[in-house]
Amino acid sequence: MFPANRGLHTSAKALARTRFTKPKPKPPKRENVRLPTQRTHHNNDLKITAPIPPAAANLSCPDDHPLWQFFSEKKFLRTPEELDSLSRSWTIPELRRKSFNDLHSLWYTCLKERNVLARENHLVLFNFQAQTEAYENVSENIRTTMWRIRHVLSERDWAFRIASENFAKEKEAFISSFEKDFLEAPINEDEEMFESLQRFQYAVYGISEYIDENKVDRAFVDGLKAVATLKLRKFALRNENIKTFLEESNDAIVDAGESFLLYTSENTESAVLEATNAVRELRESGSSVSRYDELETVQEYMNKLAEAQMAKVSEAEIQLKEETAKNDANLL
Amino acid sequence: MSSYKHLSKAGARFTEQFLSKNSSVAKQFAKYEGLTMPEFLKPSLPRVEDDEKFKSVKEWKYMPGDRVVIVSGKLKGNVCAITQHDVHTNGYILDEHGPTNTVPVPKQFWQQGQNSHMVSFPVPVSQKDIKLVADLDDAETPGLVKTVAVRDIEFKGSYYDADYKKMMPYRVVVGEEKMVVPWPKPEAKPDGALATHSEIARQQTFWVESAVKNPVPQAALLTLRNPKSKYRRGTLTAKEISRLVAPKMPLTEEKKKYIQQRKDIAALPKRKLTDEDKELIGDKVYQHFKKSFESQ
Amino acid sequence: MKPTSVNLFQQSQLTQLTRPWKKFRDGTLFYGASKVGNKRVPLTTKDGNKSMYKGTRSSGIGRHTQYGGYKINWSRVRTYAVPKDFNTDLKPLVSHNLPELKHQFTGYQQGYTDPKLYFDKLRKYVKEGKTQSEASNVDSYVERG
Repeated sequence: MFPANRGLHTSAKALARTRFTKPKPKPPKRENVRLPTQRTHHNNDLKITAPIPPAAANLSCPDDHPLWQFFSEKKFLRTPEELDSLSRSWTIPELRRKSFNDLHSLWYTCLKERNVLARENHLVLFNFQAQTEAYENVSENIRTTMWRIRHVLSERDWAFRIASENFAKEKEAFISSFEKDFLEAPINEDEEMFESLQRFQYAVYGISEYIDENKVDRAFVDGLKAVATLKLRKFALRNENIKTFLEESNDAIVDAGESFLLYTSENTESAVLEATNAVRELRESGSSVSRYDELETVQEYMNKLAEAQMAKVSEAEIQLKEETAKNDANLL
Repeated sequence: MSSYKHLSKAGARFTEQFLSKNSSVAKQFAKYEGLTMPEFLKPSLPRVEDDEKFKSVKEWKYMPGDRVVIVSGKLKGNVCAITQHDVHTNGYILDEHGPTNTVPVPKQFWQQGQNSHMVSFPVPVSQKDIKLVADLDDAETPGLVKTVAVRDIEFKGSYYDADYKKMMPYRVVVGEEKMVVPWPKPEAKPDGALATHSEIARQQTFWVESAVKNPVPQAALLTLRNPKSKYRRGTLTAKEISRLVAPKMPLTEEKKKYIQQRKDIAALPKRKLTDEDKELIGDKVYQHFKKSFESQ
Repeated sequence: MKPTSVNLFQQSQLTQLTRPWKKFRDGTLFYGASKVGNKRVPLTTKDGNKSMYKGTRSSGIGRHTQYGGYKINWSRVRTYAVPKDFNTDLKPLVSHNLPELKHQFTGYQQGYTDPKLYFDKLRKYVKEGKTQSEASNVDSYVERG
């Protein structure tokens, strides 16, 4: 049979405490200890003060508290007479003339004002049991402004979509009429004409004057080429050298690298002449960008241009800082 | 029952129907309103429905500032000026020469400076009880201006009114196109607290800038229209259409033959009646009638 | 087919009266306080009895942590994009002293969305840049759209 006494298990033996065993070593410090669930009153920095009587004077609120946005001029409640019941909603034609940023701001302002009105309306309805018609009417006027903003944005989008679908038919006439104006303008109108060219390139090819807004795609590269050619044609009327260069390149720039060089050159005769010389050198050295690598290459150029501009900006900033520091030192 | 109906329009259409003029609830309500409402709160003209409320100047006919004469009631013949429109009753509130109602007002509703329970309120007058008073040139003695009560007015054409800041119709005496009664000049009021400054409101900040770049950001469009709306119709691709449309059954031999025959017949040159044919037909008819006459 | 329930004819007057509305065991009415009138009104969050829950679709934006906190999942929170350059000059309404502007589209059949109008505007912009149109004058009340 089984023995009656099983004896202690080995680990139990080790754990069993007798009066004479040595105290066990401290357990190692546990990581990942659960934080106390309630932590607000565990700071041990509570002080006993005299009881504070509940009074309005004992309450304070910072002036820039975000919840003040639910109040009109920090008033608890506007009376119906104080409400603006005279003004009207924005009309659709008025909103059509506003930029996206303006419409967005306006919508946001409307939303906030309606929150204020809703708060007041709620108070009047449930706490004072009074007529809320005045609050509701103003709120409804603002609501009208809000749906009109949405309508105008939607309409603007449709107008763009329909126009861009029809642009293929219109494009040639559009470009040729601009070219005519651009090339025929006298020399004293150069500045305006090049500003106009900037608007034109955004209108037709989507090339923005801000580098980081641009996305390099087929239309962008084609636009670069067209604009570079146009620039050459403008100065070819005044400079024989540029004219011969244009004739050499069969009246059009087809290489992306060349067009980039010409595009980024300044809008002066000498700068363009310099650029044409650089392009000539490129041609002589036989370097050209293949049509298949155009997008990547132009993207690289754009990145470099952006970096260069950033460097310029930071340099200017450093200079400005130094100057101000100098000025401060002088003042002191 | 507390609800969010003051914040949301959900269920508003039902409430509108429920409380519309012809519903039993509205009738019941109107009945008890007359019985339970204190005298100083009772309107003297019946309230009108939202869709019956006057909205345009053509409906109002007379604007605040116009002089009118009362044509019925106790104060018949009084000439008063209109001080304001009462939009809830389609009535006109007149100045101190117009009708008033003296009623007792409980003390909790007393205004500042009030020292009597009895207060006189101006009573709105309906359009049919007043007629316009106008200064018109006398037709018999030119140069003389006569103040007359106009029988009725009608509207002819329109012009931009710089005082009202909108297009206004010309108000003429009915049947007399040349007698134009000008609109009164409205009271000038300063801009409201929520009004944008006029010049800023009219400043142009949007121009059509590109035919290839959308002026509205893509993220904003997602909040304007729901691309996953259940009401949005999808467009079927050619592949889907080919899968959905059953193929045409091939024609049987007989059908093909029949179609070919029809085609052949159609291709035949059109036959024309020659003179000989006409002669032949005429002869035949003649013979037929001749035979039938002879037999009679 | 089931025979007509005998119980229907053997109920007290009171139960007969409350019959269609008494839905729950504790005797609470499901459709609110009133027994008469139209009950086909949308229920609000405050209506119904203890078993009725109609949220505002505003909760459930995160999860509870094991320490009793709450972790917000920001992709589930309704957020409003604040405009980059907030134009505080624009207020929700327009002065009553400013005439309501109207747009005319004579010669453009499709109105504002007419492509011809779009190209005309684009041509003008390329030529003249950001110039104010005639409606920038506060006295004008009508303009080509």
